[in-house]
Amino acid sequence: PTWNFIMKAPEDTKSPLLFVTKEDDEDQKVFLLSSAKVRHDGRLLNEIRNISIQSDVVHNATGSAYVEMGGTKIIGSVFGPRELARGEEFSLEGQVNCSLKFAPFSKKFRKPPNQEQEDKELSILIGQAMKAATRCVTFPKLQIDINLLVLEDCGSVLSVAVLCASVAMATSGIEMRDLPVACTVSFGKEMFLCDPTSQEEYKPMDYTYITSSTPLTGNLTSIYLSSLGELTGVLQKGVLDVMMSSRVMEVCLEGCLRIRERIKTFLHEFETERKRNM
Amino acid sequence: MDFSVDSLEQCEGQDEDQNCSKHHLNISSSYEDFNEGQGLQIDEQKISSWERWMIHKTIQDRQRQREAMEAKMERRRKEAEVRRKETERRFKANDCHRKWLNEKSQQIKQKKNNERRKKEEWEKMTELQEGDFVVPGDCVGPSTRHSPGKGVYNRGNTFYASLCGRITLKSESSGTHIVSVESCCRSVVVPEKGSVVLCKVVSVTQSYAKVLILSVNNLPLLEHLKGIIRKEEIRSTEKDTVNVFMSYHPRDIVRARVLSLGESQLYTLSTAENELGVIFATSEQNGQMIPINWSEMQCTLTGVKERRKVAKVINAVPIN
Repeated sequence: PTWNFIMKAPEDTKSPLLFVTKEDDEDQKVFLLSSAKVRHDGRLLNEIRNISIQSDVVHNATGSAYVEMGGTKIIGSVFGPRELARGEEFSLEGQVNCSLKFAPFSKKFRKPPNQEQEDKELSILIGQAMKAATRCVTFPKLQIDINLLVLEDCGSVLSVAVLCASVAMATSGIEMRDLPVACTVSFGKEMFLCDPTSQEEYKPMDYTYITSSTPLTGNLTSIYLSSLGELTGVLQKGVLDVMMSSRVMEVCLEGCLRIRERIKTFLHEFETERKRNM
Repeated sequence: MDFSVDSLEQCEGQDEDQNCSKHHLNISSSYEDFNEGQGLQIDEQKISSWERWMIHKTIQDRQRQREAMEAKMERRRKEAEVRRKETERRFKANDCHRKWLNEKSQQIKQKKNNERRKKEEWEKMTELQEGDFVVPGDCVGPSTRHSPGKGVYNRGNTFYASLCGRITLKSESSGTHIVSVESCCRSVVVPEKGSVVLCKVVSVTQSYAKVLILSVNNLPLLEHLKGIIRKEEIRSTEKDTVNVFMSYHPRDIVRARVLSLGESQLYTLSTAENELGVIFATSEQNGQMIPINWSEMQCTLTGVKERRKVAKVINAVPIN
């Protein structure tokens, strides 16, 4: 489905961003600052942001979750097991389809309606990871649809999206092999930042965003099934030095384990809530 | 010189050389003997020069033969020596190999022991108790003593949870337990072969009835799935003479059993049992119908009887 509501503004309107002062646009201040190695929002190098999770927010869906990690807000729902779409082959294993969309108001500049590359790339990656994590044998000849909507993008969208999808699946009652968890690390020549905000994230040059010279050379997201020890997805942008690669991956997986602990505490509270209400 | 027959016979026995020409002379076999004069008594004066030459020749022949024999024996001895050395060497090599094999097998045994010890320790550590909260992916315990139930899957030698909830143990008759996870969220149900479903008839033709599956094993489905009841599977007796329109009408609620997953989007269902068939139906005048017998239902508004394949519901409360 496409976003069809493009409303025309009156002719003499101007974009509010033209009136924004230069101070809001500082990239240089972001990185490592005092000798205490603290980032601009007070976190350490390998600290993740605070996570807020709510579930059962979409009542029609089998399972749903709303997750905020710092400023990044994503809402996700799981429908299924459903009939296969027409034209699909018969198979004794179920299918998992995932679709991630950025709301037009999610980024700093409005997302043009036809730009779907990032959506598709992340959808495919998350779909693969979720399919590897569910026990597809339990729903033969049926499919599960995961829909994710990014309401605000303040950095490391992929990891928050995977977190949202796995909480939604866990609260839906569909059998899974493990909870997939993802973490993003952006790295530079000799440093790395775990769970970057949008200013700390590495963005390859694209037409809406002109980067000044940053010490960052790339970022790496890995989707990890921590109990089983399986990596189900890796997305890397930029240039990664061979020497740094293992260190960066280690930091990534550590972050994944921390996020998994967070999910587990949330699910425990969810279960006690349920019991109390029943 | 002793020319008697007895001495000749004795000589034949003593002589090893087969090529010995049975000369009437009693000649000893070695030249030395001849030199020493043992066993050979030649009267020098009585033999002629030809005889002397003959004796000399035979002695020489015998000596050559003896040497040849000895050379042969020597060669054989040497070959035997070489062969012996070869087998010794091979044996030594085999020995080395055997030692290496022994070492290797010992190493493997040690490794296995270590692994077994570690596994036992780990089993003791990770075995979760009944009532523990688990999340998908958590290890529930070793799979040797229990069998898996709902919410638990087997990978290698251990059980992992696949739902979030609490662990329950049910004891089976054979002494083992069934480990399962009681889900704290809604339970997701899927029609399987052999499960009993409740469905609503959508359309009826001459050869089948299409239905929408509403619930499986008394658990409601969130989204309806499609199924088909063919003409041959409506009844268990007289399958060919079935009239589909006299068994089901659209909007009937039917209890059926899943025969198979079927092809493209339809599950194959069957009502060929006494307990399966129409449970609830409305007549053409929109009145609720009650069953009269296994093939007729009567409308409560008008009293009109209509034909259906009625299910025998055992716990039904009689309306009268």
